[in-house]
Amino acid sequence: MENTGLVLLLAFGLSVLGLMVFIWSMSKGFFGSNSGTGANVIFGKDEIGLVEDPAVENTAELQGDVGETSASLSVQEIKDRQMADASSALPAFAWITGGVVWLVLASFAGLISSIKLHQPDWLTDQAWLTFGRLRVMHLTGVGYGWSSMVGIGVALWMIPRLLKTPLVGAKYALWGALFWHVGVILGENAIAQGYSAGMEWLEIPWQIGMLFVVGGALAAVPLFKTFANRNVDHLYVSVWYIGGALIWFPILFFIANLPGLGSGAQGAAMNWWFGHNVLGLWFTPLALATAYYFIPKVLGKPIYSYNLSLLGFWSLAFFYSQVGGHHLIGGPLPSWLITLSIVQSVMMIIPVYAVAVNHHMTVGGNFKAVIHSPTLRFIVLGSMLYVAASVQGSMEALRFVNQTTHFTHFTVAHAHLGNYGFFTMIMFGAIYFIMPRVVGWEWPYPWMISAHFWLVTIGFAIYFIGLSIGGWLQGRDMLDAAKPFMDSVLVTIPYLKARSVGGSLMVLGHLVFAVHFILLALRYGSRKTEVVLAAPFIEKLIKSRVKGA
Amino acid sequence: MKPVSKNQLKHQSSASQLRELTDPDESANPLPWYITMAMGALFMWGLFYISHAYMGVNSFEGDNRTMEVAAVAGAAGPAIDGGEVYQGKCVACHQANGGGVPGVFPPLAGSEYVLGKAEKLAAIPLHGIQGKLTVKGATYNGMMPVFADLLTDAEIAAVLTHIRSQWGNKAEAVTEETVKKVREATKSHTGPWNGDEDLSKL
Repeated sequence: MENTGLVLLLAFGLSVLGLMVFIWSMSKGFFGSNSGTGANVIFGKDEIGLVEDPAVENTAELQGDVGETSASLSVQEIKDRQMADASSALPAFAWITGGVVWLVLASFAGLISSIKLHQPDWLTDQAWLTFGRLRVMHLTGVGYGWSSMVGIGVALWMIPRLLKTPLVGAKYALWGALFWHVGVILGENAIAQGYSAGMEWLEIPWQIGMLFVVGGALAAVPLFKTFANRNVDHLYVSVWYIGGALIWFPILFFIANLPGLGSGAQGAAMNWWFGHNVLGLWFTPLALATAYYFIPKVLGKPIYSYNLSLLGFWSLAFFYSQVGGHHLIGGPLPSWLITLSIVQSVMMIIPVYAVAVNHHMTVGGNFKAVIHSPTLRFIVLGSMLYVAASVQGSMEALRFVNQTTHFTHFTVAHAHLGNYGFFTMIMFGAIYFIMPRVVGWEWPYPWMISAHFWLVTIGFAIYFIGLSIGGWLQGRDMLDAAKPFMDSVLVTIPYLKARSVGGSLMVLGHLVFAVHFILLALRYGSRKTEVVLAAPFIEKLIKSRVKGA
Repeated sequence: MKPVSKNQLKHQSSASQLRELTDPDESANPLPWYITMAMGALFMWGLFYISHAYMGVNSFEGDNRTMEVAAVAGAAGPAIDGGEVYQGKCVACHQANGGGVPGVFPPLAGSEYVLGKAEKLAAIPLHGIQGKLTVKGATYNGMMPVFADLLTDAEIAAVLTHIRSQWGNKAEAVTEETVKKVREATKSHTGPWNGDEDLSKL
């Protein structure tokens, strides 16, 4: 029907126009004091220029990368920040530790699943060890266990610093961590026993899933309570991303889990509306908030442009909610819906480009700093892979590319580029910065940070390149009517083996990271700091060790 | 607030905390021109894509399909897919790789019966086999079921053509006529072939 196209065309044109007018008026300060000039209020002139990274071995080297400075600090600034860190230490510790536990467990589930694809007769005696369940346990473990928990933990730690106010209502966040963790444990158990809701990203039965809604909402309470008591006028860009994510996720997850809502083709549309939004409106903003905080923090330079931040945030919020339909190209859904999702997927280039330019202009000229700063090394790599993953995603949404890549391992490689290359790398970097402040101890063995970085980076490169090539060949073979289906399976085997090799290196890297994390929490090693920010219970836990040292 | 030097603070705070500076902020640089250009280009592409996308005559047909496409696919009656017949009737014993199960079910890959005379091969699914059978030097003593009533001549021809072209096998296609001829010629035979003994006479 011609009218469908016309209506869609007008709706698209009008809404994009509206978005641009909105962003323009924000940047002109029509909505209050968050204007471009207001952005400089809290950044004292003589304070710009000092580098910072608690995980760094030699600060002088890092400072050398960005140039000498005469910057200095005020007593009040430091006191405020110590109060802020003390207020968020315990909830941040609880959420991040939970995340690290799931990172290790889910990595093993992923590695075993990967090996099973080329050794199908391995570990088939137990039902819960079969591929169908273990792969889902991997996805649930990394999605809801690692990514969500560490993302919330890092956000909780940043909030009081960004709002220059001690975290109000930290106990809500602690309860939230408990609910969430129990939710992941019960969810993984349900899946292991075969109780899956059967929709991707929503496999956890809704009765258990409700724990995430409660846990996520409880984690959002301190954000809003602290927000109400904030001591800053200007909301730094990270606050928008964190606020957006903590509002979007409980709503998305609640609606997607409502029992009996949508079945058949409608169910599929709803499934991917949620499935893609959980990536773009939950993981992505949490990781971007983190990158936006730590890149300028480590370098001691302000973010390049407030206007670009505005554009990046609002266009993400605007375009992302409609892109999920590209998972159903060629499926039993109206063409106009799929067409809109393809267009919006390509429009995602706008926020990605805005963030990329903003980060690049901030790091620009100081790239040498990644040699000395572990935090920056992980986060800059993660930010680069954000651009790669997003542009690749926009291309995959186009019909002629999707034709080849759909239903192949190429999509799996793409998913890992997003959630591992981008999200996980950024979180690793953030943890290297945050944990010394939370525990009041410096990372005991810097060589372990290097080992971690190179293991996961080389491992992931093998994983991604191998699986992308294998997936593409698989797609070409599946489209070739002259070839039997088995050819498209056999062609992937060497690439699946490469994936297992890369995956093994990644798991090894995670073990190095987790061991180092535990050593730090228990305050091993010789690199001690004088002032301890840890919450009382951690204090008590490790008191004997400190006395002995 | 008054800025102080690092030394003045040292007795109050740890060295690593003193290293740290104020939290980051944003400069007020305008949007670079290339961002604006890119936005304009993407917007125009979006308008172009929507206006040129095929929206379908009826939403109920699904993405990018039309009633004509659906009708043609149904009416033409797709040619019988030998691979699908194999998946349905043969794969349980002879396996997806055509290798059979050593000592129990004979292989089809490289089998002298599969690669041999089309008439002899066609007789096997039509009547089945029971008794000692030698394939590629190994002896089997199992039972091959009868498919004469389960599959049409066209389906038998399709699946035989399929197994003669898979797993490295290369032999000419088996036609529906051949199967029909064999069915007629062996109509009087009752019960399965008695392994090597009967098959060697065909």
